[in-house]
Amino acid sequence: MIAPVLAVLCIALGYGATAVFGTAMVPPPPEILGRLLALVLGGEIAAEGLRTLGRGLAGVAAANLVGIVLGLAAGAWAPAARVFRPLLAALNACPPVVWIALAMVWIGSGGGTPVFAVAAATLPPLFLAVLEGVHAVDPRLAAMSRLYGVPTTTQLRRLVAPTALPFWRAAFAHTAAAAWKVAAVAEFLGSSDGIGASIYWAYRRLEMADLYAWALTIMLLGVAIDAGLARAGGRGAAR
Amino acid sequence: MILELQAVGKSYSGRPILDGIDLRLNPGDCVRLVGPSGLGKSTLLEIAAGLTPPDAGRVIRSGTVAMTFQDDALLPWASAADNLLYALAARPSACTRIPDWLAHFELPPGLLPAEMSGGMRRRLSLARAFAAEAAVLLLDEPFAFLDAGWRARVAETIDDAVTGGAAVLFSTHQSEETPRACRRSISIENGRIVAV
Repeated sequence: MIAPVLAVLCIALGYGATAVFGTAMVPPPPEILGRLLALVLGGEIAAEGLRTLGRGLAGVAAANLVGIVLGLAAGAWAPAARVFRPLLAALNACPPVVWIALAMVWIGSGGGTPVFAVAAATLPPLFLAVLEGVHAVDPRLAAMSRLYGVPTTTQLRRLVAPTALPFWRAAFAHTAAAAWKVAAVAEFLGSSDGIGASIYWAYRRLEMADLYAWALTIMLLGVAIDAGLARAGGRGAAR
Repeated sequence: MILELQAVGKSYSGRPILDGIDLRLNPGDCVRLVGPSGLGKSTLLEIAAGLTPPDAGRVIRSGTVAMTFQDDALLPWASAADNLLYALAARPSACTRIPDWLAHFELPPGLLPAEMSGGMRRRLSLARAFAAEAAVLLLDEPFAFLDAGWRARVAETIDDAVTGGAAVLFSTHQSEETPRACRRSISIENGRIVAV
């Protein structure tokens, strides 16, 4: 019941904005929706959307790989924690635009920039979460494991992983939700394709219907990803 | 000799808990460490196990050690069988007897610690220690949370382990159900061992 009401409200707001700012600035809703439909049917949304999501996913995967290894190492070895924790905490405070700018300098414009920016932006929270998870291991269980000579790989699999999993899961949901947004911004600033670049070109060419259609696309994608993550998180927590 | 504590001392917040403790266990020895809570019994066992470093003295171990803990130290997400499999991961030959030990302590293999009573968790902790087939068994309050029937059965199991050549040091604040093989009782007074 709420969705149709919201849709009607959005269309009414669109017409209101068109009336206030003029059709050059805000095309009427039917024109925007028509363009959106054309982009869907033409396959552009699927192609560019998958490209952006793929870059976000690649960045998060790389951050997970490095973050989990570093987090486990720092959790198990105090000197490593003393080195990496403050470093990654400082990097965690960096806004993604810093990484995007650096990636553009180091890698140049193209597909590598969004992947690097996502990896750099999501690595610190993932590392810190894994480190906290390792530190949350019950010291009595760790002592028991040492006493019985439980092999390190078994301890990692059966003791550390189940303890650290909730910490990692929360960080993963947070970073996965942020990853594709960072990827889109990086594409806007430093790539020739992807949803971010499509928004950039629509803006540069003043193709306002395209601009709003892509904006709608990114908004709907965000809602879908957040809902998917929330659902997956709910299932994970239930387990 | 498979376990020897030489002039072991330990303080917490400047307060001496153990002071010049000498204790020697040979294969087939069984020592009961008796007394109320707060004497340092658990600290002594943890030092003997190598889990807590002593402030003074030294500990010599020449065999494998298994231990039960006051809080049982069980993996909460693992079943009874998985808890034993985890602890015995480095001892494949001991793993083959896990079903026997679970049956001995009447523990359903698939039950999680959260689904067990305090007595069942203690029995699982004991099953893990006995299943390890260690040369030294350090048992912290093995009779706690157990009814009279189970206390007698655990005492018999300790007897069997001692007969089999294991050295056993166990703490208890109860005077009943002493294993028959246990011929030596000690306590701690002012940080020092006294015969009981």
